[in-house]
Amino acid sequence: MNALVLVALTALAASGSKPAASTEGVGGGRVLLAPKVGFFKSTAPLGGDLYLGLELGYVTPLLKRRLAVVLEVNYHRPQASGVLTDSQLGGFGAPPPDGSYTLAVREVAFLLSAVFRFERALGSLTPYVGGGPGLYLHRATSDLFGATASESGGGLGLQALAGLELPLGPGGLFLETHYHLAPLDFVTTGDVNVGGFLAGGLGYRLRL
Amino acid sequence: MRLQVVATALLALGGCSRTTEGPSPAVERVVNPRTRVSTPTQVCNAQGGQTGWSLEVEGKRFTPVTGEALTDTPTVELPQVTLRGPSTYTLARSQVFYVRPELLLLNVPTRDTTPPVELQPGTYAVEVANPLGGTGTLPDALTVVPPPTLTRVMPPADGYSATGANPIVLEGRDFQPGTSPLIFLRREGEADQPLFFVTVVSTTRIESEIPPGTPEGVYDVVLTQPEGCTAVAVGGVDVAYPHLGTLTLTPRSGSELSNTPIRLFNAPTGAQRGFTDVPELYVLAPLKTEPTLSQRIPLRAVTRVSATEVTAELPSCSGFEEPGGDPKCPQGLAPGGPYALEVIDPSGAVGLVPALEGFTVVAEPTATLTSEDGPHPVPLSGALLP
Repeated sequence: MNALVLVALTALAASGSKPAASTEGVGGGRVLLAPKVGFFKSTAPLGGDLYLGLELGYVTPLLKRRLAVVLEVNYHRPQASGVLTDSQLGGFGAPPPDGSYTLAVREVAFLLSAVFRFERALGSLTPYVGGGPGLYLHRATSDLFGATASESGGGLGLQALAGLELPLGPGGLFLETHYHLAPLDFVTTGDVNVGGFLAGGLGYRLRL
Repeated sequence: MRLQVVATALLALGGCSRTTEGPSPAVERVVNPRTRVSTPTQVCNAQGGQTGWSLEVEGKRFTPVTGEALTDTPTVELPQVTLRGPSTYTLARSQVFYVRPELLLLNVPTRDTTPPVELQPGTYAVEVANPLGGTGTLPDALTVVPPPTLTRVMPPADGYSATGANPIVLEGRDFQPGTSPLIFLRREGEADQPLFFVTVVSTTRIESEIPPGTPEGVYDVVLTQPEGCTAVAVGGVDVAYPHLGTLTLTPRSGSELSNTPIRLFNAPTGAQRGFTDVPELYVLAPLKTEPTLSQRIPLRAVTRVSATEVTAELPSCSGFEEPGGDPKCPQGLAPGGPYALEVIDPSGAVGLVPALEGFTVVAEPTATLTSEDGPHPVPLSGALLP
């Protein structure tokens, strides 16, 4: 339910910002729009998962137009599985039930980054680095003993990124890596950082 | 611009607040496995050993979840069980066991467990809360009762009788009218002896009977309530029957191949009693078929001659069987002895011919096993006299 609300609100926010972006984009190419896909591996014992993201940025006139402000929305849903054993399962002579479990942690993150771009610093390549705060919305779903239960919540975190962009057509193809510090303290997960590395993120950045 | 601000604020509020979703449990029944059919379910607030009394909680959708699954010590988060009544107690994790979505097992602590928890007597609701789901409650699911106390056991008004039931009265506190507690007589080294007729008259009085044939001696009286709590009256019963006089026997030996007519003389003095009618006579001896087990074998053709004499036939050959069978007497008494005799007068008085002055079964040349050759019989524990 929260996700639906978030998607709706994000769409509203995006639609609300379009006129401004279009205005900036005319003649200046200052608005950046980039879908991206990658592989995300949390530093927590969660498996790797596909990472989907959409970035909307604005190249500011500051620092000789090398500083961009970027808002990114991304999604991934890694999971962990295993077998739990516990003396409180079964008992009084009753055999313990099968403790196989799956825990999936869905994350939708809103990342606000300041990105410093070194335009064509490496030949035609543009390396860039950045970082900033993030609003991380999590939903952990536990599947144990045939029953499913979930808990949701969100919190602030930090993230850093680095990438390399190759001009191609009206925009640029880029490779990118992220590190996220996304603390999470759910009953099902424990107090952990479910952030981690996005390794090998690939995308295409349009300049509008 | 205004829309963006509102959207951002809603987004932050909606996304950051913690919410949970999961099956909501339903509590349908609480069962004390000791009294599975009784309602309302009772549990005692005392005793219960180290961990307390076991209870079963039946219902639906009891849903544990993974706990701290992304840490180094993943565990299972169990439903939380709370007893709400005159006092409120939430069971510790170690006191709740998950068996299946329809069944939880509990260890309900008492004032005698470690650590002690004394629930006040009364009616309790049982509440189960899933870690990520809702809460299910069953009102009036459980009655907590205090343990019984035994203060006195009143013996039969006319004293104990070896030939009939002996009514006794147990006095104390917190008995439960309408229930069927178990009452045992307990003596060291012997099996507990149950009392079969038990009536809980009130919370302070229980009537029962000590069955005929109970051996003389001092017994602890152990009262166990259906829900499990026990009260003990140490040395509460001293079974002592009126006695016959000194008993002597003649002859004191006979062949293994024939039953032996005997005469039994009674010499009462003081409060001791003579024979009032035809008594029951038993020889305490092993059979050839089971030479290691001493048994209580009735004598045959008992006849009262006078208050001081009876005659009978000692079944050296026939044992428990009718006379006139195999002439080699395979069912007869094991050769050996001397064997003691026990006498029960219809008046309830008892007497004993001790083994030293008892009857010896003489082996014949055809015999294949004597008590000297074989293992010694186990003493009979059911003898009326010590």
